[in-house]
Amino acid sequence: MTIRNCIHEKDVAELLKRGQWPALASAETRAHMAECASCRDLTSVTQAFQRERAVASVQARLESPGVLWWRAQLRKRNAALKQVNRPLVAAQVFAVALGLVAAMACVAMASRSGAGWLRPVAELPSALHISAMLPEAWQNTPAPWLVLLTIAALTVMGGVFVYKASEER
Amino acid sequence: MAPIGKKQRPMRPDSMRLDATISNALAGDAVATPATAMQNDAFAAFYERSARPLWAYLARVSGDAALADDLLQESYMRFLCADAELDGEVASRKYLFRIATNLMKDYWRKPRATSMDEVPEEHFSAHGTSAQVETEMMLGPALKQMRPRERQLLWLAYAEGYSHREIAEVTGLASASIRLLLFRARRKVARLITDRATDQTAGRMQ
Repeated sequence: MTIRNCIHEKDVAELLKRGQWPALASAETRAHMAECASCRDLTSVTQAFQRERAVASVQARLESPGVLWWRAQLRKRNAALKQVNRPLVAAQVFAVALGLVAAMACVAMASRSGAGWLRPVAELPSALHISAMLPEAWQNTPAPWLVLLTIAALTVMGGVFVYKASEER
Repeated sequence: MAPIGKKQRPMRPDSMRLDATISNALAGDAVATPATAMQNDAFAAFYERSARPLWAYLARVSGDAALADDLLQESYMRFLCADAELDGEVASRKYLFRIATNLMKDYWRKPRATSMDEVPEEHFSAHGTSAQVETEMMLGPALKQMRPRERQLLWLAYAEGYSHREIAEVTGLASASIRLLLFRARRKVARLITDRATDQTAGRMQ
């Protein structure tokens, strides 16, 4: 497609932009308008868009700039706090990983020296009579205290997840 | 954001700005210093001057007034959070239009029930003042037949009066492509406007 620019187009565009068309247009430019389809297009399109802009501007329902300003400050503040918290989260993850490695090392060392060290831990539920606290239906399960421990762990982890989710929100 | 229209002071290093933000945040007082209060005033003045044209751009290019409301707010939020170094009101406006254009682009990119080229028609129905009715009768149906990219370019060029270079900055397109795209779009919309005017004249004569 060949783009042919009329030599008067720049002047006409400038007058239209300033809202001075046709009042301040020279007689020569006005006479040219009758012959030039490109300039006529430019005029009709620009005037239509300018009118549309004026009409649409009136229709806008604007929020208070103060509210926007405060919301932007809050967003900035949250972003800054998130940036500060990032190393803390990394440190927490590192600490948990280190704890797990240490626990695994302990278990490995203990398994080498035999299962004798586990006896006091295994006898703890019967010493504390935990089975008395459980419902009757659970009395026949092989390790009822293990069920209780699992439920307690799930409750604690659930609480942590809920707290984390609410904090994130 | 520094006061608009004034020479800006040099930006502090990021770490210092972050320290200030954190200390304000931890004190539970995000914007309580005299400097930020002045910035707030400058922003309010800038908002008064720029919000209506920006809304008009968003509403007419997207064809959805509710979407324009949302994108307008998000544009200003991002503008304020960006802390960009802008030299004067013209640059700030251009930056704002650029943010709005990118938001609109992102909105259209997201998969949804309607495609990019589908525009709600109720926007173009004629209700309101006589000036509104007149423009919507002429430009509304014509805009409806244009692609969003064409509407965008035409609006920036003929409603906002931006040059090809400025449109390139706002849209991220090459300046040379804009010349050709705008030339085609203008011819198309001019033909549509003329056809519409001819039809109306013929209708009145009958």
